[in-house]
Amino acid sequence: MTDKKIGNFEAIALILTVIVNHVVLNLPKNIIASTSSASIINVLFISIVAVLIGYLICKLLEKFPRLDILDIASFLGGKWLKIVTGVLFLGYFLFTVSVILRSFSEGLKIIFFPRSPVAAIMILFLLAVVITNKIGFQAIIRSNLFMMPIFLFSILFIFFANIGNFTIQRMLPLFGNGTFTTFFSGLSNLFAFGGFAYLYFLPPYLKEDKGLKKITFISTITSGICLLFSVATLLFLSPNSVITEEIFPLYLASRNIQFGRFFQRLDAVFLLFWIISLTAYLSISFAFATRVFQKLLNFEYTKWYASLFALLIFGFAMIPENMYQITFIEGTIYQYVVLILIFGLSLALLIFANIKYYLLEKKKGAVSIDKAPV
Amino acid sequence: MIKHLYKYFVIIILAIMFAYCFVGAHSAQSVDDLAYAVAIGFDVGDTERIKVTFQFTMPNSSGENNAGETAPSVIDSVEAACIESAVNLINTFVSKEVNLAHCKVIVFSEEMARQGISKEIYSLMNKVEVRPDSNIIISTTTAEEYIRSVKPSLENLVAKFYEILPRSSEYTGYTSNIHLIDFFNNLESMSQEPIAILR
Repeated sequence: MTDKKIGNFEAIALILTVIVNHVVLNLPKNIIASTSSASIINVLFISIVAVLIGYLICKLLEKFPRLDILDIASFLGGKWLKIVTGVLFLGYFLFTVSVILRSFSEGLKIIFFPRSPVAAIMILFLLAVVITNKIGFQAIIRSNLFMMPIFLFSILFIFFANIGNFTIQRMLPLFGNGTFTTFFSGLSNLFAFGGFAYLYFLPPYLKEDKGLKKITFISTITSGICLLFSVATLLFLSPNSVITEEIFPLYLASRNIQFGRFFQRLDAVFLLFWIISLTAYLSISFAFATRVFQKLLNFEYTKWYASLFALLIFGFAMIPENMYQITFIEGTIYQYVVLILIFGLSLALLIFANIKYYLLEKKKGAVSIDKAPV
Repeated sequence: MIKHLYKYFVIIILAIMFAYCFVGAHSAQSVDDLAYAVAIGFDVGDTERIKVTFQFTMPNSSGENNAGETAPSVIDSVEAACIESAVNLINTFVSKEVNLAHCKVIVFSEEMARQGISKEIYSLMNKVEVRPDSNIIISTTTAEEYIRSVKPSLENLVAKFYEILPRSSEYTGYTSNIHLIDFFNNLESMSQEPIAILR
């Protein structure tokens, strides 16, 4: 994959695809459920924190150009740490793909296909994912870049088209359930920026080594804006009790859009965009999962086992028994997985790798990363 | 050769699988097989908690042959404990599957409204088929009477009549265009009271 590099805009679109898909599903709902009327302030706050963390990640990755987190883990703790890190990230990618796939398919079933088995809808998505992965990583990244403006536009459009239905007073009291909930426990909403997981794997694929900082800032700020608009739409549009019970809250918002008697029921168009967006997201996560697996076991090709991964994801996705379990996994377990793995363990790994780098530098002079046990 | 056979085998299996999965859905949800309710009325029931009246449009009622005449509609009522039971019950004796995706108005009798309609509003909001832009009307008579008395003289289609009627609020001050979502939001609000169109 490294022989075909990706540009800055393609990388930005790649990270944005995570937030767009989670926004369409349950991300704004979870934020509103935890911080109530202070959701907008909370989103602004976590966006600023995410920018700072993004800056920190870029700084920590600076000493390891063209190396991903698996290489850095190898440098820090040898083969075993690389395997542990790889398995954790592989689990993360498979987990997110399975959960999102099941959640979205259940939503589609409720809205459009009440008589079809959810497995059939999931297989359609997986089929698309396997085919795109067989076509190649470049095809996925470029298609995603091509469609990303439309996905972002759909979220902004829902906000502006609903302005007439807004009750701005719903953002009062400004600090919702209190400053502690908004700024301290509300910090857990950082999981919204789960797209940072891809940042750790991007350096080997970038055309410009110095592009990572630009990619991180633009993608984090755009993600923040996207999140802000979606949270504001839901907060201003419906009471909290309604939002927290909806399956696709943003879909609910799109159902209210109409321009006169001729442009009604635009929700179907948005759902079409989001289906494409979800396919792009699943394909990207799937591609990263297979690449991590490839790197762990030193396989030469990824294509032959892509179908097996699809079956594995299908199996994982079928585990939750009902919508309640899916919502719990998506809202609570996913939140902790992102916070622990992306913002906890990975950052700690980068910090320790940097410390080791400086100690080696101090001991032996300049350290060549090429000589690191990758 | 074996590789090509394998590909064909996979393609055939997938085709059969999806045909099997989706053919049922298409036959069951074909437009011809659905009975679209354009209005639902809620009254206090005699034997059950509520009496629900459905007004269906006749298929092909917008055809050219009927030009100048008001298209016929079918009105049926059932008594049930809730809207879900009412829909299930009416599905047992209407030949087609009842669909509420084109429901334009939801009518409550004044008596029903006085008793409280929050349960019905919640149920309607939770139904994916029901559009949030359906209008809420409170009838001074029973909802069934109101629906039966709707015979638009300037319109052929009753659905179009229901759609245009609340829009008179744009050029008169005697009514208001209240949607289900507005009513529900106000019902949930701590600072606003829900209002509806009075007929």
